[in-house]
Amino acid sequence: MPWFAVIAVVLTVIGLYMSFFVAPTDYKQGEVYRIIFIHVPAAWMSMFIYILMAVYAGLGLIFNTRLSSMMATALAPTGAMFTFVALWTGAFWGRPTWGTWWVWDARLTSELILLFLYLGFMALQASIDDPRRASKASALLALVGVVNVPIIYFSVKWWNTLHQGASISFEKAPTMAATMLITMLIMTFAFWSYSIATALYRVRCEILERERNSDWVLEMFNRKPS
Amino acid sequence: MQSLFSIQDMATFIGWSFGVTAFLMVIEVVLLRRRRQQLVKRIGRTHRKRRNSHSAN
Amino acid sequence: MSQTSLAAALIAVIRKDITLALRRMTDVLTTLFFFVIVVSLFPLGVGPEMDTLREIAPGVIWVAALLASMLALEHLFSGDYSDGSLEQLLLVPQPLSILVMGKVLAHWLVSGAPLVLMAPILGVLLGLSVDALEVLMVTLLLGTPVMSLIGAVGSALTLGVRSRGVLLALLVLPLYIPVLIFGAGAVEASVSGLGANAHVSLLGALLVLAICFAPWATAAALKISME
Repeated sequence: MPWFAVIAVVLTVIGLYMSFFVAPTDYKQGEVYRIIFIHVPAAWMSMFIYILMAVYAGLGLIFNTRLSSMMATALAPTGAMFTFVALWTGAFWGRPTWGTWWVWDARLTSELILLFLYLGFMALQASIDDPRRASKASALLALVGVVNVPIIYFSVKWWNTLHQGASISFEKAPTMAATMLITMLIMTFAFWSYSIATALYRVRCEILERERNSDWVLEMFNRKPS
Repeated sequence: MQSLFSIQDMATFIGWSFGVTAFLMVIEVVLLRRRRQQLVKRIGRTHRKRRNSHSAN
Repeated sequence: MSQTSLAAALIAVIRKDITLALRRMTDVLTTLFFFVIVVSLFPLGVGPEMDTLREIAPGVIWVAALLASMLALEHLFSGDYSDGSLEQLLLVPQPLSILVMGKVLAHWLVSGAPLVLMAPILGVLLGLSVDALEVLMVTLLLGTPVMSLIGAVGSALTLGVRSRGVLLALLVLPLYIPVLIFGAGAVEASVSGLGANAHVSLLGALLVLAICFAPWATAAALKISME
């Protein structure tokens, strides 16, 4: 019952339609600003998924529940993808709007560091062979990361304000008309449903992989004539 | 700044942003489905082997 | 069975680690030489104009210190891991986090403190003024222990893992970023006359936080890696 996948597709279609045809042309930024309908929801997702991942990882670590650890593992690639999308679309929004592909402002820099945190999580898991040790170690890493993210964000913001000078920030989004806000929310929920759908699918793969020698899997395969 | 970029260029920027995003989201699903298919194939093979070895006894 | 006090156990751990490290002087010296070499590469890559070098000096020295610190992490636990004494350490009645603090202190004395002492010389090579050098030393003095403490968590998590060095870099360098920002920022602030007090206090705060939480996280990581 691929509910979330269906919801994801429906919301994405609506959201995209609204991004292009319903949301009005911006007075200052023209048509290119529409990129924020991907950029902002992706950035929100990247942060939300990281926190969710850390929560699941923490639960898995404290209560020793395997499913929680597996959910954390399942969420990571999707979160990393959205982080990359946020950075990528940010660059494509920045270039026509402010003339530069990249700027070392607090938000983009923190987003970049968040990407490193995701990659570190996945790399650590991949490099430890024993699955239980791998999920526990990366859980600890995720918890350390989630505690550090506010510290990192604060310090990058501080660093940015000190070096401001003539530099620009990608933070001046167009003033939000109501339709723009609604479109952004719809795209956010679209991404959210997508994330849930992919994470659940990935978890099911993970479970199947780990339990491949057990009885219920055997039964499942016996029912299907292979 | 706006005058430096034609409508065509704007479309390129929008295209690359939305396009790459769509590509990544689709590819993630495609790779996941391939993973599941390979997994199912692998498990089917081991179970067939086990069943054959059982029936051989 | 005699009851060893916590202090005695702590001192024993520190003394043992320092003795072992001093016997393997090469590890100590390679970290230091790496620091020097990395800093020396920048003038060669950027050009010998003192003004440019003076401007980038705080960042360069700090990044080199970060990298050297991170390299040194490899032999924080691996010696004990390979000869079995780490297992023993986990079985000891004294709280592991305190003993970990001892190990990190010993490690810092041997790998971090030399960086603090070498930095002023490198600063002179890059044209920093005496006042800037003072701030550099103070910030490194506060920052290198933070890096040892945070790095210990990464080192414990990656025990026995293949391609450990690169993985450790990926895990630990993002966490070092606040230290880098405040440390290098302090020197730059003092050079530009704005005063480094805020930066230094923030570094101090990071050090306190690290001392409070890192040994505990490292102990947890060691238990995970050793099960």
